Amino acid sequence: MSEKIIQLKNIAKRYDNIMALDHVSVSIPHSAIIGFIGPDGAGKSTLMKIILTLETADEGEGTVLGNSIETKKRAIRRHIGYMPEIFSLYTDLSVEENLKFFFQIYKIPKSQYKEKMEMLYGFNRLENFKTTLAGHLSGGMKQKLALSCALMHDPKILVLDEPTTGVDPVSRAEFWKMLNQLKSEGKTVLISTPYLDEAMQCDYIYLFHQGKILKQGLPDQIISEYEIPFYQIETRDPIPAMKKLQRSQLHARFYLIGDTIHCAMLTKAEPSVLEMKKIAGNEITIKKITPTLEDIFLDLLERPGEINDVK
Amino acid sequence: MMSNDALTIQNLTKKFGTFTAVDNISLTVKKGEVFGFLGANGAGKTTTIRMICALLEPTSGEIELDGLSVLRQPEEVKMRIGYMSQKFSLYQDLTPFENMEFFSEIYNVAPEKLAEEKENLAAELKLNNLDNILTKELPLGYKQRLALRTTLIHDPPILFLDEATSGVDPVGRRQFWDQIYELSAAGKTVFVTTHYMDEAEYCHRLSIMDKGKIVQTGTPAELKDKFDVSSMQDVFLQAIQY
Ligand SMILES: Nc1ncnc2c1ncn2[C@@H]1O[C@H](COP(=O)(O)OP(=O)(O)OP(=O)(O)O)[C@@H](O)[C@H]1O
Ligand SMILES: [Mg+2]
Repeated sequence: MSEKIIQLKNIAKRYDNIMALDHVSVSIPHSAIIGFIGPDGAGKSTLMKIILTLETADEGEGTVLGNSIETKKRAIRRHIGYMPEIFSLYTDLSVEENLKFFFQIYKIPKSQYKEKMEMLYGFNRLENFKTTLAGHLSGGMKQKLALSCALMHDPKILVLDEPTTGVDPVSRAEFWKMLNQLKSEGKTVLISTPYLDEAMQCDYIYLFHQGKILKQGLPDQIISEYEIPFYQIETRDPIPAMKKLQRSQLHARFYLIGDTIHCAMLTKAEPSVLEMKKIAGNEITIKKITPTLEDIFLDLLERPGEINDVK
Repeated sequence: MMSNDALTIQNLTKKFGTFTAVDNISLTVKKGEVFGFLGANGAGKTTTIRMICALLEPTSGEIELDGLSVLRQPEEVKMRIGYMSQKFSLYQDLTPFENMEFFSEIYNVAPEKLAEEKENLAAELKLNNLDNILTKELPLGYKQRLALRTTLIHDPPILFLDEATSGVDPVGRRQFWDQIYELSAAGKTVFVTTHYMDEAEYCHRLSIMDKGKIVQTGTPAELKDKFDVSSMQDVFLQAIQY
């Protein structure tokens, strides 16, 4: 028996003259958190909508929970919860009234009310704002309320399109605890995110670019299999040092990560430490590092020549 | 006397009914600084910025911007400020160029300057149809650059960027920060809020807000030393009491 609950083959979707999805295939198992990453307009949201049956593919075929995305839309929708990138709340209802409203429309048994609310307030920290109108919440608080409303539902598959935009670091950590809890209950979560630390927490990721899947795999495996060497350069004043290195003829890309400079070689060659010191000053220290997903993402998209016209 | 301070806030408070969103904060930002404003959701960052930009009246306190009193000279202050809000204040149903024209009119920007800015944007985005697509059709990263360009159209000395990079992918964020540094190098003061802790590292100085109060202020290096941690993420987690 196949353990895949979502299986899509060769999906293509065109809007006017843009190829939003250019023949992509995905195969997603039970009880997993699957990350869709990639720049804006890469095709993540479109693929999510096709899985949700809110959009129809021009080409290709697929099943969700064994139902065809073409002919069994209704059966599919019953089992998927969705939080779109642009959501709406009832701004003239309070926080608690919004939550209650979704509790009712999803027809959750009354006996679960207390437990649900406790779980959601634990993550969103909005308990002290129960009676505040949703319209009076801060941007991130609105986002967390909308996310809580989406999580009220108890579907087999949860599709979350950039749910943590504008959410602060503490709440993001809580949110991921909740996703892992859902996963341990056997649910599958599809999530897109611009945060690569979140992508690291996924069981499997797809990196989208210009409608295609550029890379896929376990996050650790993507990192360990990446062949380009990366180095980290430390110095007191990183920005001027980086500028000098960027202007040099060295065959590498230099960029800032936090308060250090990272260096991605353009070939598999070792860098010349001596040369770099000559350019950026003797006090710099250079060491080889394992790249993070962010290093790899930047490298894939900014490596000159291989992909054109990346924005 | 010319001051080196772009912004001085003294004992600023904002109450909504009985709820205190901003609680007696004081703060100074120097000219040319990239100043970060961090804090959990609901800490009071946007409310503070809206008061500085003369869009919301404080309950009490003083704000001085570029030598002007925000309370007494709000119109002059507005001319010296560029404000990019959490939800870019662009008209989605206008074309990108119409958006630029609209903001140029508000700020009395010269036609030659507007024409130049349009050209710059077209070159930056590598698009030649900015007068005949709707803003809402642009990808998020492009909207963000359009928003920054319109925010800068009247050449204000101080910029307020409220979560300008929210939801933007790492490549787009990097390009955006390159622009922030250029602006700062050109002498502009840039005041930013962000929930990306790597961006916090890129600020010259920053404050952390918690439940309406400023609980920490310093350079990233000072704050990391103070808490004896190696990243701004850890500083943040320790500085706020959730
Ligand atoms: N018009 C209003 N009426 C009542 N409360 C308000 C109003 N505007 C803001 N608040 C409250 O003020 C507090 C601060 O909100 P603010 O938008 O300044 O937060 P923030 O720090 O910008 O958060 P975020 O990171 O989520 O953007 C919140 O608790 C919010 O609910
Ligand atoms: Mg805000």
